[in-house]
Amino acid sequence: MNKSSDDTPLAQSEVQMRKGLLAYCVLLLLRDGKVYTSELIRALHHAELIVVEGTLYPLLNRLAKDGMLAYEWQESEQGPPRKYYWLTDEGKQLLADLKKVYHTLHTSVTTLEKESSHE
Amino acid sequence: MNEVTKIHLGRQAFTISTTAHHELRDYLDAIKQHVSDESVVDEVELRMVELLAEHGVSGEQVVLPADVTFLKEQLGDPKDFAEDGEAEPVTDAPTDSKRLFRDTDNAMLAGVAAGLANYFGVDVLIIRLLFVIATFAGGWGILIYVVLWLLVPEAKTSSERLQMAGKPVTINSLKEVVERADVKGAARRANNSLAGPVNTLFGAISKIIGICFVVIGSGLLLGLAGGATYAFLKSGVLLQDTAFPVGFKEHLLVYIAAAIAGIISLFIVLFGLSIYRRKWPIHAWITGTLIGLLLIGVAVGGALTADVVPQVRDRYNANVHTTTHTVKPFTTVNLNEIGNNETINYQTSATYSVSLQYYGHPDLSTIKASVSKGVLTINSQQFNWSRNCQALCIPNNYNLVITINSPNSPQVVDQNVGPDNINVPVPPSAPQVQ
Repeated sequence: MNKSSDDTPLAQSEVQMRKGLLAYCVLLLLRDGKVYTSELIRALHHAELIVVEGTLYPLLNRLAKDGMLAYEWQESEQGPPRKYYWLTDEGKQLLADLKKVYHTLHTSVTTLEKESSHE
Repeated sequence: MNEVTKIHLGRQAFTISTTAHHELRDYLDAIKQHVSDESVVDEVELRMVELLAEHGVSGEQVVLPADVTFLKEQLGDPKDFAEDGEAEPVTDAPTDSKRLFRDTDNAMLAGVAAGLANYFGVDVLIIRLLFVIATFAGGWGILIYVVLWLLVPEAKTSSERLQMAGKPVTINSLKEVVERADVKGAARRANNSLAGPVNTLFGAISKIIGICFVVIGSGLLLGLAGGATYAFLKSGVLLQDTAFPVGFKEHLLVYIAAAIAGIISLFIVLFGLSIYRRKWPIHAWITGTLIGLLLIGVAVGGALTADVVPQVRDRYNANVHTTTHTVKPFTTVNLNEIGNNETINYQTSATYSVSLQYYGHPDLSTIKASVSKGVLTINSQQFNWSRNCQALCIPNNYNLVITINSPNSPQVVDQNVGPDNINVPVPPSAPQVQ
C-alpha cells in the first residue's frame, strides 16, 4: 500500500535508470576529494538522484570492496563519527571509463530522440 | 505509549518508546536480512543518529514512533539495501519447526497462553480455560503459568514472531511483519485452525462466560465483605463459644483463609473481565503482587493448618467428659421430657445407671434423671449447651449423649414414637438382650 507506484512501468524503468547512473554520480561527487556519507546523501538528494538512502549504502560498500573507493573514520564534534570516502587510482580510472560510457549513451539516446521526432 | 526503554544506535544511548523500539528493531532486522556486510548496518545506525539529530531528537528526548517513521522514509525500504543481482538472501534458520515464545502482542497477562495457542495451533481461549480449570484443581494453573512465564522467552524480534507462528523466516515474510501488515495478523493467519463462524461463536460464548465469572466473583466478594462486617461488629463474642477453645493461631488462620478467598474471588472477577474484553484489565505488576500474596497466604495457611489441627483435636478430646449416675431399677424409660438435640443410646450392663457424655463445662444440674414406680424419667429440657453462644456457634456436633444402662431391655415411652403413656417396643437402635 505504501509506494504502490513501484509497480507502474514508469517507476520500474526510472528505478533501473537511477540505479545504473548512481555509481557514476557517486564517483563524480568524489572526484574532488574526501566526502563523508551524509554529504553524499545531501548532494544526491539535492540533485534528485536518490529518493531514499537505502540504495546508497550497498553501492558504497561494493565500490569500496572492489577497491574503487578508500575510506576512513573521523571523529566529529557534533554527532557520531563520519565515514569519509575518496577515489583510489582504480576509482579514478573507473570514473573516466564511466564518463565515456555515459557520453556515448547520451549521444545515442539524443540521436534516437531526434530521429523519432523527425517522423 | 508511556513505556520507554533504552536502545543503542552506533554506541549512543537513546530513550525510546517501546512501540517505536519494536518498529525500529524490526526495521533494522529486515535491513540485516538484505545486506551481506554487517558494517553496512553499523553505518546505517550512525546515519540514524544523525538523522534523529536533524529531526530534533537529541540524547535527552524520547524517540517516538513518528521519528521511526521519519527514519524509514529517509532510509527507504529494507529491500533497497539489497545489492543488485542478489537473490533472496539467507534465512536465519529454515524454520518449518515452530518454537515456543510468549506472544506479548496478544497477551492478557504475559502472553503464555497466547504463545501456547500459537505453538499448538488452537484458539487461545481454549488454553486460557484449561489454565483456569487447572487453577481450580488445586492451584496448578497459577503455578504452571508462573513457571512458563519465567522459562519461556518473549518473542521480541520479527524473526522470533515468525518462528512462533511456524512461518519460515524469509525476506518476504519479514517484510510483511515490518510493513506492519502486523504480526498479529500474520500469526493468526498462520494458525487459523478455527474458521470464521466458529470464532464468532467462540466470541459470543466467551462474552457470556466472562459475564458469569464476573457475577460469581462479585457475589463471593460481597459475601466476604458481609462476613467481615459481621465479624467486626461481633468481634467481642465471635469464636468464644465455639466448640473448642480458640487461640491466636486459629484466629490468624481464619484471617488468612478470608484473605485467600478474597484474592481468589478478585481473580475470578478479573478473569471474567479479561474474557469479556479480551485483555487482562490490570497492570502485570499488580497481578504479580496479588499472585505473590496468594502463594504466601497458601504457604503460611498450610503450615498453620498442619500445626493447629492436631492441637485442636487434642484439646477437643481433652474436653470430652463422661459422668455416670447409678439409679434405682426400672423397667420402663420415659423420654417425653428429653430435649431436642440429645442422642440416646441403650446398653446392656449388670447395673442400672445413666451416663452423660458432654463437651466442655455445661451446667449439668439442669438434667434430672429419677426413677419412681419402675419408670426412669430423664428431663433435659432445661439443658441448653449453647445458651451462652451469641455469634458463631456450632453446638449440634457436640450435643449431649445420654446412655441408658440396664440388665434388661427397657420399654420406652416416647411421644415422638408412639401414643402417650403406652409402652412401646424397644426402638431398633437399642440392642436386644440375650
